Amino acid sequence: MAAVKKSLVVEALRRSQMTELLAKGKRLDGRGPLDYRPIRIETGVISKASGSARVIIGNTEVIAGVKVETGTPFPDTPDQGLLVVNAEVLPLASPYAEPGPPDEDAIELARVVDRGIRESQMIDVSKLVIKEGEKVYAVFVDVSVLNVDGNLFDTTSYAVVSALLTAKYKRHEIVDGKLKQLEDTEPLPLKTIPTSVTMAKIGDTVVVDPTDEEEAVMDARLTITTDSNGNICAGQKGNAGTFSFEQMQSAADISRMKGEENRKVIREVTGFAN
Amino acid sequence: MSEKKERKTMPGEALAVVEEFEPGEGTYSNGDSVRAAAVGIAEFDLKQRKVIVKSPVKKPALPTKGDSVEGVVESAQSNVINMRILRINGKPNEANFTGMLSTRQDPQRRGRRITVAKVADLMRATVYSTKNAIIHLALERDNDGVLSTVCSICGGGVVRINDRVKCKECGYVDERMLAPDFRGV
Amino acid sequence: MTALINEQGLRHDGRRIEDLRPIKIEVGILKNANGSAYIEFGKNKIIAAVYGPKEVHPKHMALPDRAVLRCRYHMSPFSTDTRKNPAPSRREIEISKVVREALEPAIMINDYPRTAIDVFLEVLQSDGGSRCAGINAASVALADAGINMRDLVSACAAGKVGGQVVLDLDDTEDKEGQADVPVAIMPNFDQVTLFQLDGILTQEEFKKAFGFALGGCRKLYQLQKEALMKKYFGHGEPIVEENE
Repeated sequence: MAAVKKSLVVEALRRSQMTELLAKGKRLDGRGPLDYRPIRIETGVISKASGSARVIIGNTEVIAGVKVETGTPFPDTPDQGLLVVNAEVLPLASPYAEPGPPDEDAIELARVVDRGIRESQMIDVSKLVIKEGEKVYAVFVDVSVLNVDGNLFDTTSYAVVSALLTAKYKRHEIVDGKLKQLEDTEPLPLKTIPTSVTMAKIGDTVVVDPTDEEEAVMDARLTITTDSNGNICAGQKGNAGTFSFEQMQSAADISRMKGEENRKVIREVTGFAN
Repeated sequence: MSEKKERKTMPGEALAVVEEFEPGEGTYSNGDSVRAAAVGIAEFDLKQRKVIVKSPVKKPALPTKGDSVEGVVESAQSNVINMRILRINGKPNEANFTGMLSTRQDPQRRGRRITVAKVADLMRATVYSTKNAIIHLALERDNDGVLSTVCSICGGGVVRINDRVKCKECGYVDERMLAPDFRGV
Repeated sequence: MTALINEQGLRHDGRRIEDLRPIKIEVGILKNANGSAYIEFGKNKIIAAVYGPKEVHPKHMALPDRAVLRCRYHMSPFSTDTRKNPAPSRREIEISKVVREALEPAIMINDYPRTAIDVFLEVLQSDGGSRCAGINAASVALADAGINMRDLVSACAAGKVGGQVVLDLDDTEDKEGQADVPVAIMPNFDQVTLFQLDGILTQEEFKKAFGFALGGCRKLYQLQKEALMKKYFGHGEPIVEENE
């Protein structure tokens, strides 16, 4: 996940080049500060999964698969189904990615994406109960990052959301005390489309959808997730830089505006109306 | 009117504007203002137009030029010795810094280069540079050199014989750059 | 159970909307560490310890132009209602990362090239807002370690409980509430160094919660300064600014 790090000279050069351009309102790839790279979403790419999606933003590519299984609810939430979001940056995704247990970057990625889905109450987990306190549905969303070129947060988030929006699961019943799988399938009980918007602060400029190059020199990162009503439902600042109070407020506005734009793209592909 | 003014301060607090005072020790300048970098007493030198922060907080003990350091030799190659620093100016230090002693320039005795130190020796040296954040050591002071060692053949205790050491067990005689206060084990 | 906010506008523990829990900060409580601090923040009891600058191991992790800041946020197994597995959880790994990133902007890491600075946060007893409490303690522990700092880092959370935006959520409010927004700032620069948010807030609620959190951070900043004053100058009165 780490971009072209460790080479101070290259970083410094890139940074000065970038800040010069940004002062003129431009970026290395010709975009304006608030432009996303083209977003491509494809759903149903893995037929063995309950739902799946491949999302490509610029050169960043991830694939998300949903598996709906049955499980035991947590003791403190006997009336709720389970949601587990996991992300892995595959070793094939970047020359800097290495196999092994997820590092803190991958853990942060998964947890921030998970937070957006969970806190927006996208999934009505109260409807994923087979028998209260005993059997519930467990929705596993696993994300594999295939190619790294910045903004893994949004790419992953859109993939998870798109996979969930198109997922269908086999229903279960308890018959004579035994769990029985039914043949009919059903879409997940979904209420809203949480859409994350990730911003990078480079010098004094805030840009959306940073590339790998931009992430390598950025001061700080900020991800804000909004739901279909424009409410803010998750946020995370990353990296050892800072944001001014005004930048925080304007970031909240940007996240709502860009979030709505990108939500439209997701709606078009998935056909989800809310 | 006194020439100094004082006030208690905390990291980050603005002490003066750069046009009025020059930043000194314990302060830093951040664009327009001079700010404290530590907990302490800001002293404004009204004559020199300089502000410093005198901190009661113990500073991290980092080896600096001129320090006398003692430590254990971790590796000794033909031209370079790496020493793990255990004491700085006589005070124990647990930061585990490694100093580098180049032996290429060292004095020759009897027409050939002598062994300065071997792995696991305890020795004393002087920091002569911390350029590029590498701690360069030299045997500059009269009391620099190996402080203690054991026989490199059998591990037995040694005694000093002039500028050499002799093993009390096997009688092997080895050479070292010995410090005046060398002690055999 | 009692309502999260009653008719008088008081919270389940009797606080008003914009009240902090009782807070106590003590500087320099560990002998071995280069700097340390202890904070009680509601029921949170957290020790912060700083070691370094020291040699980096493994050596190839060292950076030529600055110190490597490392941070470990860890919860003791007995710190929670049910025993917590002592192995670091994903939550702890993430918090370690965001805490590190919250502290780093305030540390003059370029003064200590090729070294490591270790910050340890041990949560002995946990309550809501432990990451913020930990940051407050870590920041004064860094100052106590004599490490050059641009500013202190002060942290406090706001959130939404019982339909209202409130300051500083405790465990119950965190679990039962609708949103939690931990924030850390560099108080002399008005810069945000930590920001997280979970739960649903309208744009207006967000602005209010963010404002509450900033106000909380400012109060914490005063307490941090008092704690450092007490350790180094023997009294706890806040510094009186001189006007020239």
